Amino acid sequence: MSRLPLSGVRVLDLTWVVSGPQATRLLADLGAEVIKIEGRNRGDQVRRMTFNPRVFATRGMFVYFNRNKLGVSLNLATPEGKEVFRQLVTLSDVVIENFSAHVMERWGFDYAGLQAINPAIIYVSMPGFGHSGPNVDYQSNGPTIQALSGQTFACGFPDMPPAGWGYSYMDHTAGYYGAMAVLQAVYYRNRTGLGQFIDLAQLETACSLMGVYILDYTVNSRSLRRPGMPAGNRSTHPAAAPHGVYRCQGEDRWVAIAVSTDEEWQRFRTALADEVWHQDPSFATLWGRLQHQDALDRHVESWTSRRTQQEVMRLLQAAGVAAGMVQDPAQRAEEDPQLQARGHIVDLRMEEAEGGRVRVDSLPMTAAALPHQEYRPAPDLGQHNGDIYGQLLGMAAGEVDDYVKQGIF
Amino acid sequence: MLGILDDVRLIELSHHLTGAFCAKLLADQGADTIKVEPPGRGDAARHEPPFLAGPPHPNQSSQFLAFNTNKRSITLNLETRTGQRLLQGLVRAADVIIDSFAPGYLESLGLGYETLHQVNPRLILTSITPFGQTGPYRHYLSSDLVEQALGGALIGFGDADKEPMALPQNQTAITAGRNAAIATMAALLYQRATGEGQHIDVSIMEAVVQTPPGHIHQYSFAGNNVARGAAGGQRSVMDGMHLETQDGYVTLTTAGTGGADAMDAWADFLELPELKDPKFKSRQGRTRHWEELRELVVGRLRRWKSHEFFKAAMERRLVVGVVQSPAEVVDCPHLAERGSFMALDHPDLGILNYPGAGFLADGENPVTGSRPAPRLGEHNREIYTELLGLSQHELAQLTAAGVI
Repeated sequence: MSRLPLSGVRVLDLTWVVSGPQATRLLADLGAEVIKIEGRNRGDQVRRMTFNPRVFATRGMFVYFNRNKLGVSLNLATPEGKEVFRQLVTLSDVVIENFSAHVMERWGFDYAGLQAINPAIIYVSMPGFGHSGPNVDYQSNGPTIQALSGQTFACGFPDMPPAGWGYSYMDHTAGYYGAMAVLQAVYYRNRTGLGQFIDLAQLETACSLMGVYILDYTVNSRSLRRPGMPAGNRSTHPAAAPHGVYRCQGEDRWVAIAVSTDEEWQRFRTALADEVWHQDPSFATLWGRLQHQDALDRHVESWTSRRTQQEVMRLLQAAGVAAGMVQDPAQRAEEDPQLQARGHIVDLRMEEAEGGRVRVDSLPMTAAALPHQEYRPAPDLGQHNGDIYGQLLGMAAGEVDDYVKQGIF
Repeated sequence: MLGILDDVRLIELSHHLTGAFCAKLLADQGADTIKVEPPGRGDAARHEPPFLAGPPHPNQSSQFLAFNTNKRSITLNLETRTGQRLLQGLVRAADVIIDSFAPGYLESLGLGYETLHQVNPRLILTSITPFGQTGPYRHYLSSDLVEQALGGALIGFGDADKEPMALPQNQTAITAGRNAAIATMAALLYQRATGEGQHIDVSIMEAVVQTPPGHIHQYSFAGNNVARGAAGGQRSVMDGMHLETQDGYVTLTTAGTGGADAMDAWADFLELPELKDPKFKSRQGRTRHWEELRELVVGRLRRWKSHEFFKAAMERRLVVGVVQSPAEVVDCPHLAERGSFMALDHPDLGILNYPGAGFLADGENPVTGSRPAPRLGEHNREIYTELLGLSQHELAQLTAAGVI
């Protein structure tokens, strides 16, 4: 295998559910040796979650988030399990988890404990509220973090209650930030020999996406929710009209259109061919279109709703107008020519699946040092106990078996 | 103070937000970041509202200020021969160039990756574009809304009986900028180990593809084609929807009851025995009976103020959120105690409150620099004279000629 950016970096991955496994998925895709450590009896709860109970009852989401990782089982509540973990820490570069704030501390593996074992260790912890502050003992998940960070408040249509960012936006985003923090910490460790403790509060990560609103409030002291705000699918900065999501032929089919300057409006008009409404002089300038946006949107939708998504996008892009189909997962996985041409949708080996493969998205960045390569499937619980405990730690096969029987592995 | 990247120099050629956000993430960790802007107007984001403390002014756009901390600004016209030559001088002294021009634009200026690589073989060129450098859509026109549509986030947001609803505030630019920063960090590790640079190709559309809801794996593993309103929408009363209290909105979830049945725990907490009805036990059941459920729960929530409800429920190990406004976020005691925000002193605007890196390193906000966003061309003199060795006379001539 070719050298990857994180080749030679070993990560002890105690994460579970979404945010942590998302971080270590990226690290594994970038070449790190990620050893996923799970309790024998419980394992990552995502192993038991499913989108459809009839299909892949124990896999699905788990396979996506845990590709390219090695899997071992380990009971950290036992003295023997703790000793094995200590040995792994001496041989590793990174320890990462997304437990509540005090879990590692109770096991004796807070940052001070880990540093005592390996002074250069990089320790990343990802609880929702972090390791300090008055809410440190509270639990969180995607929607509650999104609400507390101000993201939810900023989203929605004018004069309507706040709308959400779906369920798990911040779980995923925190995972990306976790991966970035690890890359930066490894870079720093390579320069200085020093490890560090990354305390990643998902709430704080969410706030880091809200700089514009924070600045606007702190200087201008005005409410984000005021007449016309939040603007839903309309655009106030930059000012644009028509700017929105318009119904097309078919069930729940839509197209997004963004026209800002008067030059773009003239190009938009050329695509409308035999329509007459766009000749209305009140639409000729951006100012006029903003003033008459409701009427404009009705006209645009009367035009789009007689056409397919594909036709609208093709006509408008040919005229030089920003327009795109509102795509569902099936369209992206099966049909999208751009994602296919770039090789972004790849097959993942999975024996239980029809044809032995399922489609997933790959690393969302392309470079010579990041070659698309065959992904290894996610591990079964304890699948690599022999490799890690036998080969890496040098335990005899009989000893590994004994530890399994005693519930330590 | 760590200064993780203080041995890295990067040049940001980007115009607008996505490249600026990528560069900010690295600049905030100590990378010496030179933002190259066209003379005259500067970065397009300088002209976008909301403006701070008064009428439109190119140094006072909150869009620009938020995305450009800890950078130095120079002006340079890349469409002149002299400008191209000066950029090559900067390239010799840089580890990374970040650009977000349309594919082919840098090549048309004689500044494509092949040329830059010859000038500096260690150079990492990180290019962020709406659809990537390759593929049939690479020259399509795009916007934040169009990226959300084609990338597949839009179909999942909003309520089932309404049109799809976009996420606010250029989240596609932020998401792709973050991916580009991750890729650039990976390439820096590779460069330090091998001496080799490379061209990184980041697609905004692909960044959105991996944004929930509507994951490709959910479809390809289980045949689920996402529905609006299912999770976090109007029908998910106990699973992420926003419900009125006396003074705002709260978000309820069924997580965190430590193994106890979540609806039993909620029934006890809200003193609503009706919630123990088996029809509410599964998420599917709650979705089916969402209107009845909503009425029951909101009836009780009207007795509460949001923050009192939050505290009481969280103390009981239920997992809830308050829909906080920017004002509440800035004043949030938890974030304040952690030191999540940074105060930077802007010469024209005074103290500005910025969110930090999104995490703490060794217990501190790891943002090491103290510069607010630069004024246009603020650092022309120091960079052109100190880094490129131009004389004051040459600088004046180039400025007069519109190159700088």
